[in-house]
Amino acid sequence: MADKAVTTNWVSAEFFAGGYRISGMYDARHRLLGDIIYDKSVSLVLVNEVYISPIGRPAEIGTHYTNAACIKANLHFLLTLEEDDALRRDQRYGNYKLMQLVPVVITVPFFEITGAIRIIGRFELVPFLSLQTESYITLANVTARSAVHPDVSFHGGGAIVNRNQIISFGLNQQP
Amino acid sequence: MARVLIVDDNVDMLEMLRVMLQRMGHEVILSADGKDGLTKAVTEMPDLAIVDVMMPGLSGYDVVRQLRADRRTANLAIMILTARGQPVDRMAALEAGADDYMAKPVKPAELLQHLEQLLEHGSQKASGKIFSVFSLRGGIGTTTVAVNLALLLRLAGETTLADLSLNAGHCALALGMRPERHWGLLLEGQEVTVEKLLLPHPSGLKLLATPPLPVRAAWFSEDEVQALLEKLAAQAEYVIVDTPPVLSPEILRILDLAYGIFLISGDDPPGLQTTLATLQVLQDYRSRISVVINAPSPAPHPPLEALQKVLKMPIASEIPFDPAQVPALRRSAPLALSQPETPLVAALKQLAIQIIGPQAK
Repeated sequence: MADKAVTTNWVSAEFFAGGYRISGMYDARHRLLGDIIYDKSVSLVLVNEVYISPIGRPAEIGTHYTNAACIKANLHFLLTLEEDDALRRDQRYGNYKLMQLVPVVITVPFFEITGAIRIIGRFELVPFLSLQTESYITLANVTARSAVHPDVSFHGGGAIVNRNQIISFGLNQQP
Repeated sequence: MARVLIVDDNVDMLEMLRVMLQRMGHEVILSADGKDGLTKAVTEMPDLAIVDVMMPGLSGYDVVRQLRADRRTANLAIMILTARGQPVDRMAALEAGADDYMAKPVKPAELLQHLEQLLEHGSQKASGKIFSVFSLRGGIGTTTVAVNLALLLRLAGETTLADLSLNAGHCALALGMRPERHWGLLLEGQEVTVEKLLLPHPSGLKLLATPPLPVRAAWFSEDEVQALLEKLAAQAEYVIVDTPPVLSPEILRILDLAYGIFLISGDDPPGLQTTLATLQVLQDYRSRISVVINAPSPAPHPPLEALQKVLKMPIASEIPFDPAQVPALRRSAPLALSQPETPLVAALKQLAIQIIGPQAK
């Protein structure tokens, strides 16, 4: 048997919004999760096998729904296990020779998120924040630390952060 | 080969794990929800349980907590397998009582490695398996089966034969032993350890003997019986219990603890009637019961199919009448040692293989 992760087209994702952790499975058979999130004509993302926990007790399973819709505009960010699952189709399959990963720290309600943004060419903070028209930012190698319980953190290969929920955005300069 | 219980509401995941584990040679028990998983953990007595966290109704954490709280499943090796793979989830799984934790999606090789480690660790910490040889009808050869089965099992691993008969049982006699120490000393309150009570037989088998006189005082309580059997199981790979022919709460506790129950039955109408009634009363234990037909006389015997039809369950073994058994009893020379080629021993070998697994062949 090949040593390959047992994956289907179901993507396991963690959505964070309004002090809740929402774990669920996204069916990526028709559209990638990244494509749905970035698509401005779609306001919802449908998730299956949804489990909701309050951020104060993040491992406790509060509510369960077989199917649920998350309102994209209200999401603060979402985490995926693999980086690929947080990418749009063009980000995933494009050939970017000058691609670089820039470490950043982003603050959103209840969380401080560290990770790296994928940038082609030189990174300029102000133009990146003010001129880009996308509503979301994709990060790689993400750690989201709870502001309420600093000892609680969440990790993911990728994350998609809602720009409208960003409180502060900083470059994570390594000393 | 291990018996693995998988509790997951995801049918695809159940199927994937079933195929994977069966390829490894394990026996797989599937359960699609927590409540059913708890029931199967008790009735099927698995060696290991893989439990999903996110299940409707009872969460995986609740399942693990309840398994740990139940004395019958408290030592079960448990792995949590879940789509929630954050450090807080790992912590919650271990706090609930799981031995191991893996996040989905899993790599088959990695999962198998975890399972092997868990089974190895489990077998190191787990105690031996207890088997009850039982019948509500006397004179049906329960002791003969218990003694010879224990003698056969000792070839596969350390084995203890516990004669818990209340009426001066005959295991010691059948083995040609004259025990000075017996479990009656525990009832008398003598300061003696269970280890000291175990009598070595020249074959390598250890015997916990019954008192030489019928017990008139109060017997062990349910908890005392459990403690006694757990101590025996901690020191042997197999514990065969020649179980008293009553269904008191203490005896039911023995059956609760037993990995398997060999219900000995005659093939004559009274014998079958008793067995049928016993099976009816022991409905909850049915998945662990193996019916063994022990022909008490050389008279013609009904065909196996007819017996199975009457009892409404398969018969694990049919021990033919063996004329060599009577002189063997007189000489205190069990057939498993003195005449291992006799039909009785051949039939019991099949039971021993059932206990040890196919590698015993």
